[in-house]
Amino acid sequence: MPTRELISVLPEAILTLAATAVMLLAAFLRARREAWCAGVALFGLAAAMISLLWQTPPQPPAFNDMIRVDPFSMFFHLLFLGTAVLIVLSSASYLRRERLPAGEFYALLLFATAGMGLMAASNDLVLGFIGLEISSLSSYVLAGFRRHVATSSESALKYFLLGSFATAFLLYGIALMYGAMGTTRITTIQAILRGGLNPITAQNLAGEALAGSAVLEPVAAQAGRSVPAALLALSIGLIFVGLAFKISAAPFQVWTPDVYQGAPTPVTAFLSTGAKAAAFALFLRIFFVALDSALYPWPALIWACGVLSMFVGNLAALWQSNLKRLLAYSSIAHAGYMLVAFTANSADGVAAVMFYLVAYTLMNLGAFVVVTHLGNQGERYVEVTDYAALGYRSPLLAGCLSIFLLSLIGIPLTAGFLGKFYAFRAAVQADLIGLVVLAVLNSAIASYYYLRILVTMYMSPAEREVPIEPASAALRWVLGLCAAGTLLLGFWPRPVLAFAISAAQWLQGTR
Amino acid sequence: MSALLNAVLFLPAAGAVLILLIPRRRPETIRAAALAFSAVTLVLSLPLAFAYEYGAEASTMQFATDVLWMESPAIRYHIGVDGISLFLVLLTTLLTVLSVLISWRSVREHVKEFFFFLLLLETGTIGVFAAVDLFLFYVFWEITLVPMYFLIGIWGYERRVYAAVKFFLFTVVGSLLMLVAIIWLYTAFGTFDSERIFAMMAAGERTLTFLEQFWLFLAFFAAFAIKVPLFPFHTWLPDAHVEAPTAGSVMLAGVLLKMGAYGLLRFCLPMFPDAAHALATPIIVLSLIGIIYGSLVAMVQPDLKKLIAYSSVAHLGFVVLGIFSFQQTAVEGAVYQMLNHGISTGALFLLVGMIYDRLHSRQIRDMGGLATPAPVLATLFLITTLSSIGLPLLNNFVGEFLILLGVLQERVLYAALAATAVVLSAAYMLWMYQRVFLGEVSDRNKVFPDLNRRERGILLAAVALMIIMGIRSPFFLRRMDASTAELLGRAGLRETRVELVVPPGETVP
Repeated sequence: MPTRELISVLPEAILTLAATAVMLLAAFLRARREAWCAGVALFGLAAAMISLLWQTPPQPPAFNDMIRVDPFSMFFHLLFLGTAVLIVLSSASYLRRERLPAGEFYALLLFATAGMGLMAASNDLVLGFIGLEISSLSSYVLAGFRRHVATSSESALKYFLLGSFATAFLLYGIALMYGAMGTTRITTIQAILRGGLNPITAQNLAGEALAGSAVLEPVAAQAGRSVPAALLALSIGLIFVGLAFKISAAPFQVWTPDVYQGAPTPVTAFLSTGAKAAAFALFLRIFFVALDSALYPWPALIWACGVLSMFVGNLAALWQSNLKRLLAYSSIAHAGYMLVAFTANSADGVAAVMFYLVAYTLMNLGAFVVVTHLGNQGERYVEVTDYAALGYRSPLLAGCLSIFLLSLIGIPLTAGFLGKFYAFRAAVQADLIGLVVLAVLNSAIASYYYLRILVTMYMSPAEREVPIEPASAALRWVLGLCAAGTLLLGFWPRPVLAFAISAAQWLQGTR
Repeated sequence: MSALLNAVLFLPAAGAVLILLIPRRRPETIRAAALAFSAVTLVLSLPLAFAYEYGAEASTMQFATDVLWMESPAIRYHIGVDGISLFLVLLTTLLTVLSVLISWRSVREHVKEFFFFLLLLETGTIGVFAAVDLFLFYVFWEITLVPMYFLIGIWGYERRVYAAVKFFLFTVVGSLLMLVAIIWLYTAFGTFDSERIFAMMAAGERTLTFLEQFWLFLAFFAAFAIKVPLFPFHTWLPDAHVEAPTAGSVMLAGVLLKMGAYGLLRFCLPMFPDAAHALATPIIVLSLIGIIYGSLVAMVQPDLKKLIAYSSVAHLGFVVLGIFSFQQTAVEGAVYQMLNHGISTGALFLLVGMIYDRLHSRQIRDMGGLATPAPVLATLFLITTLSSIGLPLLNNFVGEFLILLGVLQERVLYAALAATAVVLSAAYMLWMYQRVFLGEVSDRNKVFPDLNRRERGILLAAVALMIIMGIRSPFFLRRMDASTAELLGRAGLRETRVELVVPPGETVP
């Protein structure tokens, strides 16, 4: 294997090695010294981040063009690794409190992150699928990590059954795509749709040309039209279903509330941010690069899916009393906002999705960290009413949560606002005024249920005494980072935005 | 780049952050810090008025700062004041000081958070009036929402949560539609800067078709009409006012409502003149309904605060009427009336707050004969009442007179209908005064302490301004001339106009 191919999968390799090391370490260490596992996991994540430095000048395609290391994959790698670091830091006290095996938890987390990295870098449908499976299998186990708790097992089972159903759709779509195109390379599919040659046809032609029995010219001219349209449409639809499930967009969102509610809270945080971002990465690669919207009007599909997600997520969230469930519905709605930007089908739209993912990761992860901490032993306190008078009992925690909630509403000077702003701007530029009006109406609806949490925290008397443990140093660091990041991105978005724009333009350059 | 306006804008926010650092157990220090920061801001804002250059050509933004804030899309940190926004900034700085003072004793719980939000609100509001860039305007516009929401929701009265959430939701729906319009304008003009947009429109580089203007106007109008509030979008106002703490009511009535009228004047008229002219009649009808309906409803309110809240609906109807008459006289009257309403109604809310602190009731039937135990309070209340009615020599008279004068030239019927409100306001205000202060004092109210020094100071400042603005109005109106003229030049003046200049040879001090 040449070195440059090794470099293109270096982060994944490091993560896999680190995960294996963590697992071995957990087997030999005494239970009390599980902090070492977190240390090794963090070390692995840091090493993976540093290894990205070797990838900085965009690399030539590796592994027979299956992997593309470009600004787009770098952006997502950084996002995934950052998310994983925050999850590791914030889950330590949770794992101790719930007496869960830390080693396995971190190992699975690292495996999932490696899979997500492959998804962002893949230029091949099959490799994307493999990445998705690696991350999904780890996620299934993580969701059921509190195996003595019925809801957690229920969550894992539901996620596994529905998830494998959805990946089956995806795989079937990929198979049909191969049938229609004769390839699973994303860039090749795009070339064929633009009028290039189907590799199988090309091979046959070459063979026939050798035999000297066919005239090459007319066949080549017809090659672009020789794609079986119905088969391709069916395949696009199936792939769309599989990915829409993973980003929990309506109408494929039914699993989300139950899985998010039942899974351990740090895992919920991971699923709602990292896993969703990875699915979006694959989504963008496949649809934005491979499929020419002039031939196949998939933006219409995303339009409908986005509107439905926003309405389903927001309207359902209005009635929730469990905070995890509420955030689950809100995550459906946020997927909808990102789809609004995606519908624009432009580099600006892709950049807006990517910026939104960063903003959403910061604010949603922060919110879930607060929920994790206040949940206490056995996640007893996750009802909205348990947060009564939190603003005065623990001003710092409540202050951070307020920042995250205001950002989720989309109040200016927070990352959430700029995320929405860029998303809506991309859509307005693409003349999707109607869609944007629907989206802002949804933002207004959404502000109601976020406000309800603020009302409970600051304006209601405490009904029962909910114990609040002092937050650990790691937890405070995570909260501080998320809050500072949320505010900073709302005020100075340039570094992230410039990176996102350059990545999006790179992606557009490949199509 | 003007350091002065930037200091005025961000000093309160700096104070808010500083207050966060003061330990909770030292409320006196927190109060003192809040007072110091708001007072220094007020002092710093005064030179804005005196150093403001006025004259026929001085219509552009003064004390301006214009730097790039974000790229792609280009968002400029462009602030400045002109004759329209100048005094609104001053009004904000003044009312914040009065709000800090009025909350000195009445706010006992969560003192730290209270003054934090109050100072944050000041920065947000000044920002709204000073922003030239549309994106910046929107940012400040939304920023004001959060502190006000908390002020009502935490320190308000019984139904405070309902009122706070209603306030938030009403405002947010309108402002999000405005956001869509702002983004749309960017795609059309390639900039958020309103000055640049005006310049491009004037140069004819990009003009909006009537249909575009129509929809953009409505989107902006949604945000502003809710904020003003114009009938029938006013229902959040009585709730918010009644439930808000005194300082919240003062800021809400004094400056937050002005943001709506200011927005109409600053953006809706000059940017979408054709739509504004086309829609003027329905909007004027709505404001007339608001004037008469607000007055009539105010008349029957048993709750003192609610009465003043509905009178605000009527007064703001007057302002909108003046704006949409497209007469320079009336527009200047409208701007002047915004200031007057801020001071008079602000003072009324302060007075009601003082009565509430003593009586723990806002119901008029619990009062009566209060002039006997509290003559100073009664006198100051009377002056404020008379100012609110529009007695000559006091501030409201000038504004109402100018509006009626301008509207009269446009359509006699409108002026006649609006004039009824002057009569009605005299009726409900004087009747209210009679029920509260005159007659026999009940046994319960025999021990009703009069105003203390702090309260007298607050009110004397307000009353002094009422008198100054009543007799020295040229000082204020002169500074508005050039800006209103230019604004109406963009918005399209009607033919008849009254020159508001001093005849040659005479001087106005």
